[in-house]
Amino acid sequence: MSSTTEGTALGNRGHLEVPTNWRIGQAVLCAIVVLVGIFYFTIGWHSPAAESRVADNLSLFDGVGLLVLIGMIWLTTPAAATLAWTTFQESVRRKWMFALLIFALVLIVISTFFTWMQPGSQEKFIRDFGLGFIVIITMLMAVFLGVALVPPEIERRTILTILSKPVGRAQFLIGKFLGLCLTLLVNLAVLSVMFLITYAIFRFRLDHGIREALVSAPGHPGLMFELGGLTSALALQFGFLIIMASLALTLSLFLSNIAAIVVCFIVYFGGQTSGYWEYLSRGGGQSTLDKGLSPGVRDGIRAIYFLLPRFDRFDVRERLINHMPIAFNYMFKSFSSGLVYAAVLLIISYLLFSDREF
Amino acid sequence: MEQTTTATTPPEPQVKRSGGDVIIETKNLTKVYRAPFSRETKKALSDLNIDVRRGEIFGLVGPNGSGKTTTLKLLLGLIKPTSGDLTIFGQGPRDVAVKQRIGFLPDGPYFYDHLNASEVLDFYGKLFGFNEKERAERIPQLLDMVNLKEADRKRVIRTYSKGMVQRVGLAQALINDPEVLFLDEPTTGLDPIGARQMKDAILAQRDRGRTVLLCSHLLSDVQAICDRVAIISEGQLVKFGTVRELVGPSQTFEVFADSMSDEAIAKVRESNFGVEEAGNHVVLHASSADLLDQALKLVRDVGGNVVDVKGHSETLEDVFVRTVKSDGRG
Repeated sequence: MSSTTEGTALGNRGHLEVPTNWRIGQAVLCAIVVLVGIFYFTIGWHSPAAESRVADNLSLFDGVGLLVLIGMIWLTTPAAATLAWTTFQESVRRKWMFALLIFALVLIVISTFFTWMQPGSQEKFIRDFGLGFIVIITMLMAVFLGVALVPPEIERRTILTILSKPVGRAQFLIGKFLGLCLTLLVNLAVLSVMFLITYAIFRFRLDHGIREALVSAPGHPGLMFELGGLTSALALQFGFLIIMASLALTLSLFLSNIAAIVVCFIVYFGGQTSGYWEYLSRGGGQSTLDKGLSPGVRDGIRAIYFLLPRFDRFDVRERLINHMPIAFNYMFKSFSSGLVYAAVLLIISYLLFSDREF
Repeated sequence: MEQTTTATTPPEPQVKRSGGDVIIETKNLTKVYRAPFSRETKKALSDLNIDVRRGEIFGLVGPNGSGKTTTLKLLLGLIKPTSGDLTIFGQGPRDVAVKQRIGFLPDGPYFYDHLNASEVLDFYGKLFGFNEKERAERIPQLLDMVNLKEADRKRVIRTYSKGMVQRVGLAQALINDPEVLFLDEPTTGLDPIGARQMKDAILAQRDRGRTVLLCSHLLSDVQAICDRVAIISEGQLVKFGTVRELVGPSQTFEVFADSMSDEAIAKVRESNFGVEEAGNHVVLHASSADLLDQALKLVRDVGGNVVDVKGHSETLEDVFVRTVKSDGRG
């Protein structure tokens, strides 16, 4: 090491304040969210008949979801963004992640060779297989990357040098979480594009031409309608992944890796069946079993129902099978609830992490 | 605790030294670790009162498990004190404004191993909010300073030797040109030349008016470069002062004499000096400068010939071992 350590013009302060340009960018994004909220509150999106049960206008809960989004945008300082980008870089440079992505891409493509298993509804096979496969693969990514987001930083002691820099603990957590969300988004996008292309090509071949595939007829929805539905389903999957990632992150702060993964899967299956929990908590069933539930058990079930995330809201595969449209306000409400759920988990994470000693 | 310190009379820091203003101060700093789900506790640090002044190199030494790293972690805000006060630049250690002004090299640093040295420094530079131009200017300077070869800068960290990682560690600690540099075992993993370069780099920081707080087991290094030293044992401050105060003026001398008859040797043996024969020489041990004069006179009086005089100063290591042992902890 050279002993001539002359200082530079840089000085030793760095820039404590968030740069004005950054804040302006954040303010613009927040303003867009507010405008969306105002539009939704005053005008609303008018749902097709199939969505008539869903309120068209902004509810209080949706408003909370938008506030959470604004809070997340505002808390994303340059330091948090740096951590997010490094987390993303680290994730995509993991060999197992790359192998998993390649495996998933290959499997999506070769699924077209197995359509003989469902004669007469080959496109349904590809649709179900592709969507289901993407749901599972990205969910595994969210869980396994989520539980490995913070503990390795502590074990490898990289956290010591990071937290001794001007980085708050909230910024650290948000940065890591956003990095994971970015990783999941990119992986989901890559898989989705490959899946949609595969599906479109298969439909062209099945319908013996592009024009034929695009035409809608009773029992034969047009390709664009189907691709729109699939894209919405895949976009909703991202909402589901945000919840799973925040859950895995939170659990990893006080449970071992294995325990956190197991609890994630339990919550996943519980959340997928949250409609059933709601049904039981009302005690509205007609069967003898349902009527036999005591008020105490019903309260317990109701508590489980309120604690579990509504994953069924993010799973629209049944709607796709029935060729039902997925309205924007349905997606909006699902995302709002997901954001609120994720925000609660992140707040719990912060409470667990803020006084943690290293 | 020994003379140079007053650890039991808080909150006044034990040693005042003319010079820079106090930038780090601890008052009755205590840390008790509690095992999770257990009533078992361990007092890692007890009523520590030290002050670190601007522009000095401050050494924190102690046996393994003595509380050095705990002290460092408290100063960095990585753990919270159980009781007592701690200020850096008059503020709490977790204040982001404080972190803007400090640098830290942990013991056995570890970085994101998928990044190369330049990317690691770029990452830390961004955490300080330096823009691209500032980072592009600063990073090559730092890598030059720590002598990391051009070819190595583009290799990912996981392929680095321990010494190379340590160099990157120093570079990241200096990325913000900190006013206070915390170094935990900075010469770990470095070869002798690297260790020497590290010491030169630390001294250069002091020459630039920077403050360095150094934790090290290598007491010869600490003695060579530190202005003041605190010795901690079992969580307590047992000695604290300038190196000169700790090592003291005490010196021992060896007087080598020859051309001495058996009678002369017998006379010398009758004196209070420790006497031994080494080859053709008779060696007299004197434990002070005054006794040295007497020993030289004695040799001449008995007709001997003084051929050499060797002086031995006490080292920090001697003080450390003696202190820790006398404290019943060694």
